[in-house]
Amino acid sequence: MREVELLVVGAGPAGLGAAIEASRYGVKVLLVDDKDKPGGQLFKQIHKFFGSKEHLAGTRGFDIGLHLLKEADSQGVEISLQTKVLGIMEKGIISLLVEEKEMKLLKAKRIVLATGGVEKALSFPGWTLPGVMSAGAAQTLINIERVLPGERILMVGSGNVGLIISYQLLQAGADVVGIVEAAPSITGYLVHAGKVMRAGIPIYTSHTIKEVRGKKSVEEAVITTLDKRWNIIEGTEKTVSADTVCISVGLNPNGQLASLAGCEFKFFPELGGFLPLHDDNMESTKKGIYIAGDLSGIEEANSALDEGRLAGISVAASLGYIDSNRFAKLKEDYWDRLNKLRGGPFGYKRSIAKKRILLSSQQKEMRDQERDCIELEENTKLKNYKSIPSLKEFQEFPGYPSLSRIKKGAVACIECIQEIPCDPCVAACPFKAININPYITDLPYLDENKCKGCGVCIASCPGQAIFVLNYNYSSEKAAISFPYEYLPYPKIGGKAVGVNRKGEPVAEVEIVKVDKRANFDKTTVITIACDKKCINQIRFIERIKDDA
Amino acid sequence: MKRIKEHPILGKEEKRKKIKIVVNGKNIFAYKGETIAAALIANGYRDFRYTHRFNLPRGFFCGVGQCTDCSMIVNGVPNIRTCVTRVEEGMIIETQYGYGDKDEKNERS
Amino acid sequence: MPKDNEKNSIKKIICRCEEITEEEIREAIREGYTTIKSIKRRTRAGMGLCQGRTCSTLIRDIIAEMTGDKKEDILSDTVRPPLYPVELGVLGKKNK
Repeated sequence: MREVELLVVGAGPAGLGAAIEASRYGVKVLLVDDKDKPGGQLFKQIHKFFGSKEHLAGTRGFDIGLHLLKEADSQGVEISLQTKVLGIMEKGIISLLVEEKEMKLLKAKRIVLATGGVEKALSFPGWTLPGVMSAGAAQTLINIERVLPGERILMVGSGNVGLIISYQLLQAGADVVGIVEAAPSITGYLVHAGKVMRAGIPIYTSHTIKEVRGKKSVEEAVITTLDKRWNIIEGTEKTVSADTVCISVGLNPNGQLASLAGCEFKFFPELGGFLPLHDDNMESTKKGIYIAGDLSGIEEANSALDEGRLAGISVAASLGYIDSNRFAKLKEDYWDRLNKLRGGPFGYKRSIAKKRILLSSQQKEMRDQERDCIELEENTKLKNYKSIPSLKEFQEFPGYPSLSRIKKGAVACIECIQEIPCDPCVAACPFKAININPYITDLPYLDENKCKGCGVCIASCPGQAIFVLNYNYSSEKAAISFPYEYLPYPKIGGKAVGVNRKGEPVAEVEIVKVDKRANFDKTTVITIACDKKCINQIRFIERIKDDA
Repeated sequence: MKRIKEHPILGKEEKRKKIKIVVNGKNIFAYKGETIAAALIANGYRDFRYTHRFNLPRGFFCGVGQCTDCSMIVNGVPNIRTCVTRVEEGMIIETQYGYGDKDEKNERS
Repeated sequence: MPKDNEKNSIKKIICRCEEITEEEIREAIREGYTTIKSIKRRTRAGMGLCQGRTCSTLIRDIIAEMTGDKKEDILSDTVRPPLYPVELGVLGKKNK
């Protein structure tokens, strides 16, 4: 029977992180994945990630995936694909099924489980019809297989997954007829909602999908309004013509293997439901078995990667490859990074849940820590939005330039008003006119005097929330620059319909610049000329439809 | 459903080898390396199988090989999850009726 | 999860693999089967090819709604190896 020091199950960001770090410190690692390609969900993430420089923020998900694979390769990590873990037995013996045809037994001193998350189901009459699918399934089809799942798509769920995949469906050439959200407000980031709303996709809050109809596949969907207690209001049914319905209602940790291995589970709805407990070394309640990534709680790729790296380092330390002082310092660094990612009003619930997981695993009452959690809960306010905020609201935030500065000429306009851990705009500005201080979740502050309106920041923002307003483009016209990631690109000299933040037409505009600089990393920056009075309204154009 | 020939982020379609697969007796063109499910959807097929109890159509649902609704009979073997299985030259793919045995097929197709 | 009218649940499938409807699950709960494990044995929901991966959270939601039990107290069914289906021929083959 083959013996390894560490078996890592799952080659997504968490598993890759664990394998890379453990290898770096000398551990012999075998990384397995049941799929025939590594990377987990990374390669279908074609958008730029949020976060900080260490998290490769501003980089597209698939580039992060390639970067990790290179790192794994340089560390000599052995990866076995199409390898399924059938069971974890006593004495660290693991049963593997390789390529569906061969069973192998393996002995491992340590195991890291990084089995990720699985999408939740939402049932409604007609949900089994072909054409109804998980949002992630649609994302795989468009971004990996390059096939459209349908042409008229209804998205259920306005969390980040639903918003991002709706955007990507538009990029792929599909028509997204609407996003339906049961809650009374948009649940994902406003900047993601902003991208889809300015592109013309309506978001129906307090709505749910009641039924889907069709003979052999989806032909129409019935949506209804919900009251304050989330009950269907009779008589509010609206029939929508659609051929595809994507379900995006959250993820559950994929705990099958952890459960089989005997790890203790607890229920944390803020992190996706039942999950295996872990301590501050990422070790589960089963000695020698560590967990990381979405398995330990549904979050994002950057926290999955950091948890994976921490688990890998903990394994290395437990095997004697890192001395206790060095390990303590490394551990502290990673917890610092993780706490930053969980900061702000979007992260606080996960932060509290993670603190409670650590308290559970310590099996002793830590009253002060629990008190901190309750205080954090009571003091953190996340403002709810049914739609994009008004201009007046944006103007109250430090990223929006004053009217007097706008009238002086080209200046950046940052419409980012939620505290999300993210700061690529700071490094992008050659004049150091953007500041996010001292916490990475703080809102960007624009120094209007330093800002020259050069526009380099526009493409750096993963939320596509930065614009450049040039009031003095000509004596009669103003110019507005914005990010654009759709085909076909508009042509210089052409006319287009300028729209506002909600995608509503404002006025006809002229395309004056189409900037496809290589270091914008496939984000094109379009500049349009319009009436000066539209300077605070126009933020996008009606997408040009292909003639083909 | 359409193939995405050009994409603002992914660029132009890569050159891939065209191969022939047979779907319910009909020759279909697919690209080497893609999943059976993708090839079928690109060629307009959405109903991959019909269920045992209610004889209702099922197709691509979870996309990760978990729900088994995309199962079809491939080269005579039933319950092949087409969303995680890649096409091969000459592959014979058939709609699966119920559990995939010949009697079920004759009863309902 | 938005509450639905019970009369609509006849058309709604919960266990996709075994095609068990919401009405059949509600009937089992009314009969006194109030755990995921016992509902599985009574109705076959969760016994199909996906082994409950798709339907068990949906069943948990229905149990919670009808019995008032908290979701965290409604345990999943036991997970047993093999985690994935294995052909008997592969299981029986002599390995190194």
